[in-house]
Amino acid sequence: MSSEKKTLKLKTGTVSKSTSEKIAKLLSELYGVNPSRYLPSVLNYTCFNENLCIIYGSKLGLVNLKVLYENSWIAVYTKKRLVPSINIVRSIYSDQGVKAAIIVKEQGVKAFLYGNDILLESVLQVVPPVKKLFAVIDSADNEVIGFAAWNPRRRIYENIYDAGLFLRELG
Amino acid sequence: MNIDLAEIYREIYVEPSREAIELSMKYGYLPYIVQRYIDILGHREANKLLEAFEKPVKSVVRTNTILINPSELKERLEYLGFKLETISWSNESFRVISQPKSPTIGSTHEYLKGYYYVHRDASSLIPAHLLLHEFSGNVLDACAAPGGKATFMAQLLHRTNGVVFANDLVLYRLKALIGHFMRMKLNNVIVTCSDARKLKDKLNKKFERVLVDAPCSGEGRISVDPGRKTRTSLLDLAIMVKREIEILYNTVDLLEPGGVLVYVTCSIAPEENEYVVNKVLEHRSDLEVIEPPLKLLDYGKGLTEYRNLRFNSELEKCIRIWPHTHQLFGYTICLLRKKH
Repeated sequence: MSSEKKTLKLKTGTVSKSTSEKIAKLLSELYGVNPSRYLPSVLNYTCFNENLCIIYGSKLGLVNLKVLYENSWIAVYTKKRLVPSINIVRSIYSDQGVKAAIIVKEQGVKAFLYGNDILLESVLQVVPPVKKLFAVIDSADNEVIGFAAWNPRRRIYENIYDAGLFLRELG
Repeated sequence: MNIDLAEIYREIYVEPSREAIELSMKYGYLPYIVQRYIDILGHREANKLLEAFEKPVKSVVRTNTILINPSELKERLEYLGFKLETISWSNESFRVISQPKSPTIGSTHEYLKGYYYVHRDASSLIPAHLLLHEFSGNVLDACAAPGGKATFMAQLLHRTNGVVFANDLVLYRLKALIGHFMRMKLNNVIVTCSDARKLKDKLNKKFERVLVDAPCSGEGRISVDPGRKTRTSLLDLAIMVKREIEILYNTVDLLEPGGVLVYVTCSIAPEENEYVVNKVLEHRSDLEVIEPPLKLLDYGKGLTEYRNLRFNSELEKCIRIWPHTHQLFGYTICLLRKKH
């Protein structure tokens, strides 16, 4: 048995009021939506390590059980940033259309899903509003595959997290 | 229910014959394991079983039908160089007949995007089909990690808003399970960490459907893990059997009257299956064995006797998947209904 298997401890708990407010502000700023429509009243978190925490809505209040994940995945904390979940952005896009996103060519998608950044020439379209954070959309099927942040100095979209992260980090 | 480990050990004890010892040396097994195969199947068929365990199995791709339809996925994977064959009784799934040097089936970007789950073998599709046939509602998966059955059930229940309560005791396995749920964008799940034996005291809720995929010896998966030929001593087996009885006995309390529980192991050991269910039936008059609602394959029957043990005749309704007759992992599945 590896040492990780022996020592693994996951931190779980209820998200603080200030973090909940940060998530609400993020959704409001990026997508111009009323956050209360998408955010459950109670948010819990599970941290797998220092680099990856997931935030999800708690509906059932299973107080006697250690809950590690519930159905409404809301946000991720990674690379010291709080970022919306792929699921919540899919839901917002389904209601309001695509906003604050980059639509990426096949080669860029492949690199991104393995944790790499996106080169400027891989971006087919930038969908406004143009903020620091962009949902990354695969041009082949219009699926949200993660998030990237524009780095003006390096002139690339830096990978904040991608759908492959969960396989890499969680096994 | 008091379960005496010494009694279990005594009841399942096997003294291998010379014939079993010779066969076990040929194939590299602990002799008692082979003796049991001879006792159940006879010498000739036991040989076929041991031969079948030497053959590689083909992994299976199960389409995440929430994100993509099976024919589109098949087309995309075939474009990458995979040769796939549809599984006739589970039409969202494909057997991987051959694959390119790169990418592997677990590293395509279709996989990373959650378009499919990779099962080591098609046997693990059967329990979810049987448990959720014509059902909508919530389901408890009491020992859920690493998640093949839980993700499949979440997918099957997605349209009807049914929720999968996926529980397991082992944190590092739960971590992988959560990874699969997130990768596959399955929203109708709740993941909890608890000993399945204690769930009834912690979960203030009952279910119409429960899956107990008990931690077992994995004796049906020897073809992909040959270490299992020698890993489990008879005492280890007795300890597992005790835990399996405790898990099944206690999870029945989480069933609604009229509700159905599937007890499954990836093991062909009668001790871990018919023996376990029989012990629980002896102590619970509120439980009955039922026929599977679907005939996906020409199933093998459950055992009603084994060596000196006589089991409840109803156990014939259990299903046995044999590697040498079905060309699948060995599985044993029993469907139990809680009486009103």
